[in-house]
Amino acid sequence: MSENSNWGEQLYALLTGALSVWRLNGRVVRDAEKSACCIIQTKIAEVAVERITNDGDTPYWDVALLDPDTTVPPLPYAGLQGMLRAVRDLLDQDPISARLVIGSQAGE
Amino acid sequence: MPTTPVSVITGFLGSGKTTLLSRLLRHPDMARTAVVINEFGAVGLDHMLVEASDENIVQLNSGCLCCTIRGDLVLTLLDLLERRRRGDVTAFDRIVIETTGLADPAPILQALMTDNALAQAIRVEGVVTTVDAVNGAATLDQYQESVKQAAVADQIIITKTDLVDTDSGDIRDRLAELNPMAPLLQAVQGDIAPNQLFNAGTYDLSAKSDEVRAWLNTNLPVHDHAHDVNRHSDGIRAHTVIRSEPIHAVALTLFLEILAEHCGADLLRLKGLVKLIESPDQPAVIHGVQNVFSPPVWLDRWPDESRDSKLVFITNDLPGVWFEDLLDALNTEVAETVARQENNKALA
Repeated sequence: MSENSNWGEQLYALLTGALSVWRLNGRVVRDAEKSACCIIQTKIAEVAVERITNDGDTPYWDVALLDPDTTVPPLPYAGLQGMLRAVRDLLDQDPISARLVIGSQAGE
Repeated sequence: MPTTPVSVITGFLGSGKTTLLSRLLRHPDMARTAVVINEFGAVGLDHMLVEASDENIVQLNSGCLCCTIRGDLVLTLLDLLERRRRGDVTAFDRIVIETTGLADPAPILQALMTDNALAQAIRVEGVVTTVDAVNGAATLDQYQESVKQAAVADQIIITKTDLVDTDSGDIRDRLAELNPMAPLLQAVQGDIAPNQLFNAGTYDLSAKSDEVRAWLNTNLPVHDHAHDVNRHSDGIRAHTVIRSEPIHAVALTLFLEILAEHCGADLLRLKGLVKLIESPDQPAVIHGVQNVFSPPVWLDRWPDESRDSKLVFITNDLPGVWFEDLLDALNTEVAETVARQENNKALA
């Protein structure tokens, strides 16, 4: 199984679970033509996420808002952390977000 | 200077929390304990008073100190520790905090874990939650505070078992489902040995192997793949991830950051031992309450023959399988990056 096929399955599972974590109604479908691409469909927006592995040496994630009126091109993200944040920002108009706090925090 | 262990006693209104505390304060083993409570009257200490140090600290004839909270818990604790340092109060070796019946223990734990001044002086030993065998089930049905108190507990004490006809199996089963990490103890009229509650070393992550095992307390068999023990109770879910393959340290860091960012308050507790590629023989101990984590601690060795990573999640209705998918995806991404860098080095 190609690396991209693996990523396709992982991406599908990851985004499906993320919708549940974010408490958003929607679904995730795999792109029929691209093995490492998924499309998230909610009432707010449709977003495509694709793992790009053939554009230079370093793979990255493309996140694109599927809106015929948008002028914003797909944006690249080096890692899953950035990708998930970008997807959430496109789908959730009022996300509740926290940051990781480790141990004692001086001055807080 | 060694840190002072701090335990939190919580439990819903009428669950027997105050009865437990009153009984404990009379026990000789509770000498050299400072108890922090909301008001003296509620604990019925009058006959035990020896001397009032000032309006909010009293010395009991058992040797305990009793201190009322002055508005802010952290400031109260800092003040108490400073008084000890100056010799203004009897020396104490441990602190027990009793919360109100409607308290959410998570912010209390987080405050204890993150205040810089406190961090130098204390270590959080754990949360003890009382649940009433008579009304506990109905309370769990009606009040989310009660559910959360049980869900974040390190130990749960079932009280008033002398008042029920059955062996309290139903409430035990429900609590075990809600929080598989917490041992279930029993106390009638608050009668329980203090060392069952306060010397468990639950948060002393440099403790001995059996104590680390008890702290994690999953009682799960070892598998080579994720063991889905997703359970549903009152919206609270418990999920355990087990992995035999080691994890990149960077992947673990990213994992915790993403959990904090996207799960936030819905991630009630996370405890785990993690095998890292960088140190497979010294497991990393992970502990978090919502988005607040203790700094990782590395054990000198694994507590038993199992060398699998085990992570136990207690959440407010989050899909447990997502934790596995996320961790695996991050580990894959980091592994690919590392492999690529090594390949580039080899070609250079």
